[in-house]
Amino acid sequence: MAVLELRGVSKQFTSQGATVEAVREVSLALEPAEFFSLLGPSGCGKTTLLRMIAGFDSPSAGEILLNGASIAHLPPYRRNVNTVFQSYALFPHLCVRDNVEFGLKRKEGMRKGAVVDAASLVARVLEQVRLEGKESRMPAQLSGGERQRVALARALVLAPDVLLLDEPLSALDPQLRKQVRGELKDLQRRVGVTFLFVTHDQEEALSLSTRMAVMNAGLVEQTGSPRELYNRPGTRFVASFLGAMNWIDGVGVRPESTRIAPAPGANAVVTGTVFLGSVQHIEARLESGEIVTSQIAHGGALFAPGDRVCVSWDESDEVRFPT
Amino acid sequence: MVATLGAPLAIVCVYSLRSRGAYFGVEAPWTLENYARLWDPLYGAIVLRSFWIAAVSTALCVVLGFPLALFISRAGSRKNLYLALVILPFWTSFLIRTYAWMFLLRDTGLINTLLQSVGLIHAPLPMLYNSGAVILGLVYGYLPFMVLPLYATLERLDPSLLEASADLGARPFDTLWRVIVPLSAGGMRAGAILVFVPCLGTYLTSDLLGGSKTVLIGNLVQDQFTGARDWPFGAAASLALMAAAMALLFAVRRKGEDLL
Repeated sequence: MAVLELRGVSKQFTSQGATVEAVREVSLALEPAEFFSLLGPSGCGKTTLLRMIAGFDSPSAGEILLNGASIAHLPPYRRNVNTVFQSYALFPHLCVRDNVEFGLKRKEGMRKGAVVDAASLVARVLEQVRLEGKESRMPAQLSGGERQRVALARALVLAPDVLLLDEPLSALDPQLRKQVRGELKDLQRRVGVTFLFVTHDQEEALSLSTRMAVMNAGLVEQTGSPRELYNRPGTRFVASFLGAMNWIDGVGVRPESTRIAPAPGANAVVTGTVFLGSVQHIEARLESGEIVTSQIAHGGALFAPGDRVCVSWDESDEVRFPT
Repeated sequence: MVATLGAPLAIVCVYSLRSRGAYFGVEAPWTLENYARLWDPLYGAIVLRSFWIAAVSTALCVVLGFPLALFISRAGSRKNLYLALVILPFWTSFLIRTYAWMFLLRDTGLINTLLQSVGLIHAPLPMLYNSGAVILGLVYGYLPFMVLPLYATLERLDPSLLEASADLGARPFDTLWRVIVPLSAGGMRAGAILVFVPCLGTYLTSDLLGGSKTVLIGNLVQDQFTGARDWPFGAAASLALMAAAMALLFAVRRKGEDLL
């Protein structure tokens, strides 16, 4: 059975007399222990969806089921889901230990007697996120990466059915982000909790998820494994948003599937080259006037603007959508 | 600074060390006698009463000001209206507003007349000329000084902290007590200082609403310069009050923090 299920969830906001449909009839089902990503551009409704699951907003229509029971109208403190906030939202007046213990102390029956139990739970979760020895630090004394791990520990110690993560990597600097990405995936595997991860970064979604949904303008465009979505995008939006895509006469071809070679059989003129280290991008204008990008490996042939070249691809790499 | 703050203070210092003039002012002999007289138990009672009334008034300002500040900080587009209402009384003289309280509280005042006319009471309630009336007047007068710094703190409070608290299982009261109150401690302290210090030195409120029974340090000082014509003792008492207030500020300031 799905641990979390959304059935036709919609959310309308009214601001200054105008009604905005932030989320439109979203239906999703998350399996136990899966790492599920919601990917979409900013304003696509992914954060609103997360906030409805957490209980900070209530849906205008639809059902939210946690382990089969409706939670759509329960306040946040009665839902067994926890959130890692984009800004982490650590309590600045509490040390690391007190931040992590905060939820345990609020839980029913944990007020008395279970103090020893709580202490060992806190110790274990801090070990899991490698924060041993930092129990007495205040949030202001921690690095960005450490703060993020406190936020994770604080939520995971409550053993939620689903952990909601709202762009938890966006506050980190780029070098750290990749490292933390790996750690996050490891952590998820070890604790076995279902993660619902909201991001606008396609690389994060592709590398972390077991399954993912691409959202646009309040709608879920497609759901599937990262490989399925990348290789067989169901809509033009998914095809363009996940990775790059050349559009030639209504047919999509990935730059890495687009070959480029010096004449003979020239059908294009090079308009620019972009050196990216491990790969380079060659932009060329076809005779039809369309611009295509070809990604070629490091050490491949060198091209210069003005070169006449032959651009080709295999028909099996084409992506087509019925118009 | 030197001219407006330093010079008058220096004059008060010098006066406090001289002797009492025949009719008013000060005369030549230098003396510490004025400070020694402050230890008279008679004045001790006045000092204690002053601290007690200032402390109770400050505490009441916290209890009343916190919910009000919290309410205003959540009022959305109406915030500015409510803030204007909090500041509105300042547009009228404090003296006139204190007289208005006398009009309300006295035996033949509005409240007593009203209660008697509907038959709830048969003799007027003694609401004026006691410590309660002084505290009421002080809380009324200084509540805005508590509300404004508290509001500024609550307004800046990151709303995601409140969501995080609810997310971690805290009911609204728990969030209030464990998150909002501790995080507004700075504003509360600033407000407490702004209320406590003027309450400690008040003379107008205690004079008008407290009558002759509720003499505070402020009244003592005032009386030395007017009725008693003992300027040196008045100067010594006012400096002692200032020293006490500053010692208190020093005691409550947080480590590494500037005064106020």
